[in-house]
Amino acid sequence: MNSSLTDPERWAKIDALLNAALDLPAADRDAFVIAQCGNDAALLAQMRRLLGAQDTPSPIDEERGALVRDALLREASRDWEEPSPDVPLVPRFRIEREIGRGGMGTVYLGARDDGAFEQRVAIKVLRRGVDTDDVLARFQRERQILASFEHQNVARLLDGGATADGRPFLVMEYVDGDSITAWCDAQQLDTRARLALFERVCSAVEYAHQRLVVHRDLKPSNILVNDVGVPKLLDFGIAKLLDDTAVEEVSPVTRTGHIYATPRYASPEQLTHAPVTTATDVYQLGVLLYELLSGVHPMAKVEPTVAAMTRAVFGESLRAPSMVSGNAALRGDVDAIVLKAMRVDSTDRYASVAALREDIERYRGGLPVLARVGARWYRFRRAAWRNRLPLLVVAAALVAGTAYTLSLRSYSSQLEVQRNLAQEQARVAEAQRARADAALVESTRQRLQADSARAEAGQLRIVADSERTIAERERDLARDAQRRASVEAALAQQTTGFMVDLFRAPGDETQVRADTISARTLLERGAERVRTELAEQPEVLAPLLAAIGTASSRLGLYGFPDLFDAELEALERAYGRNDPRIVEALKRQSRMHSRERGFANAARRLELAARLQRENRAPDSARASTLISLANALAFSERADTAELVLREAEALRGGLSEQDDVDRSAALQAQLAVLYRRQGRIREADSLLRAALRTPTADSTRAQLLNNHASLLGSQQQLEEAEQVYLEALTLARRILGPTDRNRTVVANNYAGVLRVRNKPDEALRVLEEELVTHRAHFPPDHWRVGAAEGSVSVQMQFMGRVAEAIAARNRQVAIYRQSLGESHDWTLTARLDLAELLLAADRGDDAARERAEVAARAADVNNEAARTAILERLAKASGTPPVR
Amino acid sequence: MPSLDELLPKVYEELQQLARRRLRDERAGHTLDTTALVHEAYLRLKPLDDGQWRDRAHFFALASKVMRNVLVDYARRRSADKRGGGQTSVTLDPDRHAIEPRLPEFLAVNNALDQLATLDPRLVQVVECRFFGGLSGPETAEALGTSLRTVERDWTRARAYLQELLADGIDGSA
Repeated sequence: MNSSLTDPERWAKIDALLNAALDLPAADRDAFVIAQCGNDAALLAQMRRLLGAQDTPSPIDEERGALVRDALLREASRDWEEPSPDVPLVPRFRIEREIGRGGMGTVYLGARDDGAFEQRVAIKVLRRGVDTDDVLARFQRERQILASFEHQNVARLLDGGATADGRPFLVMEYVDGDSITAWCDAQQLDTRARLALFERVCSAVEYAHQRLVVHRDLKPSNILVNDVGVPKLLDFGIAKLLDDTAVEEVSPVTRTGHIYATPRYASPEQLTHAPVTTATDVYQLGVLLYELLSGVHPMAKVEPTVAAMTRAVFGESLRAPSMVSGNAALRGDVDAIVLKAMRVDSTDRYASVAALREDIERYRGGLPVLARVGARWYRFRRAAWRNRLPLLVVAAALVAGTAYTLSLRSYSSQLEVQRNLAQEQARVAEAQRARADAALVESTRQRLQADSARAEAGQLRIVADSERTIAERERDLARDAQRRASVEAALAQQTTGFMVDLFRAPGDETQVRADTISARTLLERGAERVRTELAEQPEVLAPLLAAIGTASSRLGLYGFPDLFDAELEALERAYGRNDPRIVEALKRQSRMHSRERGFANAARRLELAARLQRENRAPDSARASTLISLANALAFSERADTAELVLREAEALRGGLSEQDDVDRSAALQAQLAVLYRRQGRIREADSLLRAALRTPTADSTRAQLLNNHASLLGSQQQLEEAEQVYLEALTLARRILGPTDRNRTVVANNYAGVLRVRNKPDEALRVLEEELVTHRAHFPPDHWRVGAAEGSVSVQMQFMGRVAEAIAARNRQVAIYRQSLGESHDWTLTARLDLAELLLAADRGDDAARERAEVAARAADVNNEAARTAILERLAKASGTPPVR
Repeated sequence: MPSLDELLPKVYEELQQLARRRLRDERAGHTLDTTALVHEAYLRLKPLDDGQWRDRAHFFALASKVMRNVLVDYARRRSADKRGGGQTSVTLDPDRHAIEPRLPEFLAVNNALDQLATLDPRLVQVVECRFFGGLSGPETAEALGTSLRTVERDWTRARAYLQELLADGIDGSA
């Protein structure tokens, strides 16, 4: 009936009428169309309908339309999501099946999806729900570590990126094989063949150590042997960078209380949270060798929990592999090698993996082994030491796929007596850390057994902070040793018993699969239980709430602030409002908040702590220390003004900032405030802050940072002459105090060179950069990316000076190093090649430039970092004058 | 300036990706709606904007067109599934059940717009921006390079004609 609408001529007429009618007031429209339509009744009816449509609801109307549209969009998005929630969509790869599952992620067997060549790969995908910043950082770190590795006994990193739903993944060489122990048994290898295979594993670990990486989780399941008998080291998921102190502080890797290791293979230092070094890998290699040669794990009979392993590792002498296996051929040299690698004290072990490997080589070559030298002396010392070790770690736990642990240790008056017996300082330190009351262990174990019937299916596990508890208790002890000792002992006994009852340590060594949801349940249940059952014993309740709150916070669970508040309340009930414990708790809680980036909450708690300290007339130095923490939290909450006021208050306290540590923190804080001011455009204030901070007697490393920041500020204000001087001072200091490979040192050098360049001192700039290059060459392997980066800086300066041929040569070296160490498709490699292309163009080598660009273009699509890929494509596009195409 | 065909896949991909991401966020309390999506897509694609989008307006018009394609594609697939005796939905998804009865109407609007395009393509652009892209009146005016007054007039006209065309469709005569 309305086919008229599809007739263009007719429609033109209708549309003209409609427009004219709409120009009129609504009341006049009907009269208008009646007049215009004349005898055409059909037209009139249609015009009336069209005008009436205004008052009729339409499917495209705002509300109704949006409803359908948005619902459709949601539906469609679900449709676009991965077909099965369990199998992630990994770009460029096809997933075949799951082959393994760990705490952080799942490993799949896959293949490249482009059909170009069939290569089987292992794809490690981060699990959904665990992608906290910490975990992402760790994953990223593994990728960085592996990207620079190229060793035939380390499983290679092939690719990486993000899945369709945004989870990061790594693509690794797939090793189709068995664990090294299973393989040796299947092949029925003799001792010499096993030793030869083991040496190859050592060479892979050595390679990692040369690159300042400690694996930390060496165990048979991480060392696979492929079908042609080549061992491959896998899983650098918890590896640690030795030179990466800056990252270390904020990353969870060294957070106290965590064990990043499989308990069964953990080294003594991992079990006691002592610093992990390459010696840890030596120890774990020792365990592996023990198992390879004797056929059993050295502590096979020990329950693989942190607590039990700690007792065993510190408490029992190892049985030599020859005794366990009954293989007399191992007696003597081989026993000695294995046991030397596995010494409790890391300084008693082989000094390096290389030393271990060389000793095995000596054995295989029929030469005397070094392990036997001093072994007798070692046995003697160890016996003496063990007798001084009546106290052991009590309880521990694993949660959420990563081992977290709490060791509740109590101190009795014995402790002070024992301490006097210590003869070697290192030993004492270690012994203290591992100390707990043996009687307590026994009684809690008995109680645990008695109560095990009551323990529920998904047993609770202890999660908490050990080192902090220790540190705080030690401080308390020092303050009030006599009274404290007896109180603490009684308290710890109750506390420990209760905790062990609440949380049972897990009984299997395999990676714990409990996810964060169950961890939450555990903690919530624990919190609820302590709050009801211990309501009448606030002095016991408080430390438990602290432990559970801390654990919750560390696991990124909600609700820990409630626990913190409950802890404060318990403390107040137990000791009264003015007890220093409340201030201590507030400060600890603020640290947890800061760790979660909850600086506003941290500030709130610190404000309360500062107020309590003022009311209680706490010592000025203690108050100053709190105020500095408060200023820090305020600065991070972008409350620069308040932060500065608080900082001034801290400095004004009589006797405040007496501690060097506080002076440094104050200076670092001023540097931080200066950055804030600078960002707010308050240059003059930033400048005077930095100058003031530079006048205080700070540590050299703080000073170097202050100088660099100040020079940078001056540079930004075009005060180049002074900027140059300050940079020079910063660089001189940095070169003196920072290691040759310290990145901050490179940063300062590059900044300095930049100012020299602007100040028209090109030769000096070049000299600075070349000195850095020489240093880098001397301290890194020749193909290390840091050497490449230094070459790049030199190239930039050469180019600036018009020395194009030399600039090209340096850039070529950089590109060669990057291709080797970072890979062909790494965005740095490609960016360097684009830089090279520009240089080549400047040298009238258009063909060479075009070739570089073509190769970059061919690889650009493989760049994983999206922003970097975009930038590269843009540069390519600019060079060719056409828009980028993906 | 690159042609629509070159830009379309990029926008399409971006919108899909964003939609997926936002959908996941939705479980954490964010809502997935077209308006927000289109704006976010613009912000994300902006860094690429070295003359590709003539300007923000150009992008919004394009994104609205893409949204139309995306949603219609999906709606078609859904109703085809249904007709083809594909598996019946057993999910408890509120959207799924809410949409089911609306699909024929939604597709009818799309068909009617195709017809309207032969008469006055600009009217269709206005509907694309406002209905499919979720743009406001002023944004639509900006996207199409015209005045708000014109957009409002065009919207009234488009609504009126759609009403007629839909009545045709439902009567089965078109």
